[in-house]
Formats: sequence, C-alpha cells, structure tokens
Amino acid sequence: VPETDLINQLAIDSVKLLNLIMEIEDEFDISVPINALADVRTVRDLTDLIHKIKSAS
Amino acid sequence: MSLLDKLDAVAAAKKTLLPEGIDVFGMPIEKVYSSTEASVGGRRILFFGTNNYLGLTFAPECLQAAHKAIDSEGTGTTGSRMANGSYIGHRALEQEFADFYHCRSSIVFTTGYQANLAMISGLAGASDVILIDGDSHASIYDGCRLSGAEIIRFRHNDMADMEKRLRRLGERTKSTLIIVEGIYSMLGDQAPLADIVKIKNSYGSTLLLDEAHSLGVLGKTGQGLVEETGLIDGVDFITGTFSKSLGSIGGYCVSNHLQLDQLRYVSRPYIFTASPSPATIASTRAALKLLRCGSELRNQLWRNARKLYSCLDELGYRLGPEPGPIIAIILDSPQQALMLWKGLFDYGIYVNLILPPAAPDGKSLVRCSVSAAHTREQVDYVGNSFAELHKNILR
Repeated sequence: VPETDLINQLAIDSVKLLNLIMEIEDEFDISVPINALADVRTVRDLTDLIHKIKSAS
Repeated sequence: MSLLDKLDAVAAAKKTLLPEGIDVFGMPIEKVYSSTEASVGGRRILFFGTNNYLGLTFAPECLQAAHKAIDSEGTGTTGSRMANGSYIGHRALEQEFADFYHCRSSIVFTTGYQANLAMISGLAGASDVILIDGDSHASIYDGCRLSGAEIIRFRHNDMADMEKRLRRLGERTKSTLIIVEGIYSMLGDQAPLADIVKIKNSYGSTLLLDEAHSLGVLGKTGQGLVEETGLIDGVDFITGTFSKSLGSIGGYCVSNHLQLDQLRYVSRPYIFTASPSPATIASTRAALKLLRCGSELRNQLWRNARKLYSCLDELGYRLGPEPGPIIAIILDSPQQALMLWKGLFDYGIYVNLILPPAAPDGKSLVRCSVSAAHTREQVDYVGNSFAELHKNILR
C-alpha cells in the first residue's frame, strides 16, 4: 500500500533502508543520493523518488 | 511531542541493552600508567582498542616538547587562525607535513573530524556530487551533509559499483569528489587504491583519501596507503588525524593543488574554531619526527597485529577481511557482542564494543586495535582470553 510507512510499519531502519536503496539502484540502473532519503517516509515517497530520478536520467 | 522525547527513547534503549552497574560507553579511567595500561574501577586493565598504533603518548620527546611549549607559549591560542594568528609551531607543523608527503602545502585543523568537515564542505557544494565508500567514517558522512552536495554511496571497496555510479553521472563526473579511506576504521581493511586512481583519472573526478588509520601504519616512512602503493600522485587531497599514530588531537590535509590554501578563507570548520593548543602542536611535531623514522615500531606493530589476527582466526572467530592493526570480531547479535566485550573486560582487557548503527551493515562488533607498544606477553594474554571466552560464548 503506497501509504505504508517504511520505518514504523515495515521496521526498515536506516541500515536496512540504505541496503534496500542499493538493490533498487541496481534494479533500475539509477543512483539515489542519500540526501534525497531525508524526505522519504512511505512506500509512495520512495516510488515517487525513483520515478523522478529515472525520468531525469 | 516535546524536543526531549527522542532522548527518552535513547535512555529506554540503553536501559534494555546495556547492563546495570557498568557504563560501557563511558568507562571511568582513573589512572593512566602507560600507552597500554590504565586503572579502571581500581583494577589494572590493558588498553586494546585505543588506536595508539605506535604507542607514542608517553614518548619522552613528545612529553618534553609539550611541557616546553606550555611554559613558553601558554595553555592555548584562545582563538582561530584567522582572528588570533598562527604561532610559529602551527606554520612549522604545516611545513613538516608538506615535507613529509613531498607535497606543495598542508593545512592543520583542530581535530581530524574537523579536517574532513572542512575539506569536504570546502571542496564540494550544492551543484557538485560526492561519491563515498559505504563504510566511510561518520566524519566523512557529516562533511558531505555540511557541503550540501549530492551524496552517492557505493558498495564498500566495490570498484564495479563505483564505476557504475560514475558512468551514470555523465558530464557531472568532472565536478565529482570521490572519497575513500586508507584503512577502514571498523573492519580494518584497505581500499584498492590502484583501481580507484585508475577509474578516477578516466572520469576526470577529484580524489580525497582519508589516511586516519593508515598514517604511521603503512609505507616505509609511514605516510600511509599512498606510500605503500606508490600512488601519491594519483591522489588529489590526503586528510588525516593526530589522534592515532601521532598520539595527540588534531587533523591535517596535504595536497599539491595550488588551491588548497584558499580553503582557509571558505571552510567554516577551519575558520570558526580555535586552533590547536601549543602543547598539542609541539607533541605532534615531535611525534611526526618519530613516526617518519619509526620503521622498527611499524614492524613491531605488524608482528603484534598478525599474531593476534591469526590466533583469533584459528580459534574460529569471524573476523574482518584482512590482518592489520584493527581487528574486528563480528558477532551474531548485540547481546553476543556485549557478552564478549564484558568477558574480555572481566579478564582486564578493554576493547571497543560497536553496536548498530555505528558499524557498517548493522553489524555488532568487538573491535581491537593493536599497538607497537604491546608486549608479546600482552598479546598472548589477549589471545588466551579470547580462547577461554570462545568456549563460553560462541559454542
């Protein structure tokens, strides 16, 4: 569900998030700057970010 | 929600994980006997996690230099280089670092942490990119945040991953700063500098190498990984610290780039802080002289390191990838790491307990750092203690 909170509901801590980001980067052939992650709270935030980066590249 | 709620959460986590009655992350050192021994809670303990690689904190030359400086220059400069000027010692130490590395110039900072904050935020800005190894020290991450640049991590020591990210940057590689470390602070492994330099050159980026744990440890004269590999020409900026092999507190950067000196005018962590005290500068200058001709100390350090590493390896402990003065024991959980740390402390051995998120990949570690000053008996005692504990903790 897009509104699912990554940290509170999926128990993704900062370390897991960084590892998750690495897998997403490999999958979509993008680099996600870690500064962009400050605003990422939910699954939707993450997918929006990936779209934004993918379309910019 | 008040500001202080988050701190209540920290207190609660601490209460759950850490034992009552022993302040694991705030150990009271009552007396220091030498670079390797102290008194904690009335008991004599061995320092085995203090990064005092060459054991210079009680070297007579360093002590004398510090005493002399206090008597002649006072206890502190009480201000920044910009406002209160540069003492002869500050300029001399900068010259001595430049000579040591055969580089054009150097800048001295108040701490190694600040050296990274200053250099990274001075070199990179909002429109630039910084590419860092995933295992980078907190001072590097914090310097990146301060800079406002785009921060991209690559998998630790993974050259294919680093190159992939450079490829994705296109033209922006020209305004990209790549940061790696000589010896990584948690697991003690070295960066593949030859590959890094080759890739960096082909993309036209700038390379900063942090030799915090490799100064005094690698290379014939102790310059660090640059000397060990013969690749100093491939590195644009080298940062380091006084707080490990040099036995004091402070930081430095050396470079052949003409522009290094301009950082004195734009780097806030250089400008808005008091400069190192006269005693610190004096003891560091004395330590640097000892470090440069300290190949026997380096040999002793590596003999001790290899001995302890192979002992722990044979016992079946999971260790970092390669032997070196930093020896990390990887445990399965914070609780297991705490048990091992406490077990060693009960044997009178004080090492580091590293819990998530301090170590890469959320690992729980017991981290040792070996010194040239450790005697064979002390290293054997530590090895035997690990052997005893293995039976109880890691069945």
